[in-house]
Amino acid sequence: MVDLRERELITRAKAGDESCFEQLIIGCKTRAYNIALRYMRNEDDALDVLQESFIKVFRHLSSFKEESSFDTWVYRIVVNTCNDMLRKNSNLKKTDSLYQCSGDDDERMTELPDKSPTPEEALEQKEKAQLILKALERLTPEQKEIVILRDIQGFAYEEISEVLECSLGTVKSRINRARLRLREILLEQNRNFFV
Amino acid sequence: MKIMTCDKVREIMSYYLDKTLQLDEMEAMGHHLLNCRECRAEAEQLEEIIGLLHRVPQTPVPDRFELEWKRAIKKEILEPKSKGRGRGKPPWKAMSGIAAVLVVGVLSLAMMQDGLRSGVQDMAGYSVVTDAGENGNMAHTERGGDASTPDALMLQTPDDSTKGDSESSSLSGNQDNSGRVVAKEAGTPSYGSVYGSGEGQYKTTTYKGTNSKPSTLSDRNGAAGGQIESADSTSQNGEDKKTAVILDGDLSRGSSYFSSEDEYNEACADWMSQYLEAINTNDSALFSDIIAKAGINGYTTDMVSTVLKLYGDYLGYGTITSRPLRSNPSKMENSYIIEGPLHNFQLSMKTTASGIQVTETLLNYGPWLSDQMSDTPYVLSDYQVQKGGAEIVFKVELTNSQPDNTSDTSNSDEKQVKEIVWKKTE
Repeated sequence: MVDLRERELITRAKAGDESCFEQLIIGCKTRAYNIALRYMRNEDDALDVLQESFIKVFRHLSSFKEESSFDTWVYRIVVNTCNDMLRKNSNLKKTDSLYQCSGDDDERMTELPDKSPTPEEALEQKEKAQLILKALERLTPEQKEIVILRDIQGFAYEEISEVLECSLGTVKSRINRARLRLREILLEQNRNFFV
Repeated sequence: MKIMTCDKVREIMSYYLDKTLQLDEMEAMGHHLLNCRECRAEAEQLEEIIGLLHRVPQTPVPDRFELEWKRAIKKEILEPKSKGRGRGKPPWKAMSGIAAVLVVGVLSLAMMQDGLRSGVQDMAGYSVVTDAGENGNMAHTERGGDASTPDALMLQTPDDSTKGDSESSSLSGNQDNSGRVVAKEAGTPSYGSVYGSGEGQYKTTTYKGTNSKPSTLSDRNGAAGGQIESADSTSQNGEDKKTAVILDGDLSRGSSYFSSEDEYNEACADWMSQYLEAINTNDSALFSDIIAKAGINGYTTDMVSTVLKLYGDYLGYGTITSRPLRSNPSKMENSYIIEGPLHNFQLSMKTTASGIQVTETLLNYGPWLSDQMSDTPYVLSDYQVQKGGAEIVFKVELTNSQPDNTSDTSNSDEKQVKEIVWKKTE
């Protein structure tokens, strides 16, 4: 549900107040971008999705029914826009991938804060994370998006249910299958992944 | 305490790891994991995966987004994409100074006689050839020459690159400029082109296929590609550009209306932005304006609506976008992929003495196809440009009702599909 402050901003944004609209989206911009980045796997496409999504949000603000939070509505639009773009890109057999980018991009995308006791362990964790993100690409689109939303972005089940417009039960069973499948893929690639 | 099997444990593993189980299930789960090495290993491995994914940090939004976003939202506020707008002149036309001329499809005979033609092939003398076809029960249409096209008889032959999906799918889709379109106001275009016609024949074939009906045109949202950014409109010094360019002696580029590549590129981007907007908002008036500015005289109001329908049939009903495909700056030629949810097609632009010439199969031949189909309800499912553009095979699915009749869920998965072939006549 929308809180009072948010409702006020929405009302003003609907009336064309650009600064109110900016305030509305500023809170969800980074998360929206990172959702798009995980889906699209490159910065340019993620930015395209972000801009297109925010334009849609602005255009359709009057149709926002305030039954969900504003952020949830925005993320739903981002997810749909990502899926639209991925469908189109698949026609052109687009092959560019985050993981085929230059080393700099890889570093930016998968760098982990160094919380490990040793540099070697930190490096190992970094490499493992990179492998997991690559394995993500072998999941089905539905499985991949649920892992992005739940495990990478940290959405609650209920939020995911609203963003994806599916039941809570579907979310839970999908996340379970996705994680189990991810584990299978990692073990297929390297039996000693978890050693 | 509950006793859990390994299968049950696997089924609810995620809920356990996410701590969303009921207390009794949590206890039963914990007990099982203590005593089952395999399930315990699996739980630990899943926990490791989740932990690593949780720790993937958020990437900050790149700084360049702010500038691009500010332009986009300003443009959106100033020029809202509603159906009601644009009945008058689109904003880009209001600007003086840059006289971008758009010629879509065909150069007029008059222009050709001026000796200013560039890359146009003579296809005069059309007729529609009737053919009994396979079933012997075809309808056919005969047309005399160019009765419906009062002006020129010439038609730009689709070049080899207009092959719709088959070509576009083989391309890498590399983008030089991220597919961004700069909308810019421009001056008054000149006129002088028509669409053409050709011979055609019917063939009826029955195919088995899925019964996927397109949704209505109104299902399209208003996003014109999402890649439009406004540019500050700057005018040149107001001199008569057309005169200046005709006097331009740079024959290495052929005769060109534009005095610079930048000017040409801006005009292309401007046209593309309006074109996409018209399609995405299903704005017949705007679409009519765009092609009218290019001097396509054969388009009646019905034709505009019909071509928009053809676009919807083929591209799909959803956001239509464009992305650059190729460019040849020295020749002021470029092409785009127009992308829809179902298919893509290619649209080519090049400069001529009077502006930009645009070639796109459905735009150029859609009215001819519609004329062939007359009042028969149909949906365009595919088209193929063959023999270097000398033939275009349109595949249409005959429908018993309008395409937006979503209640048509016939159990039969057989459709009546017709191939209608446009052939260039010598």
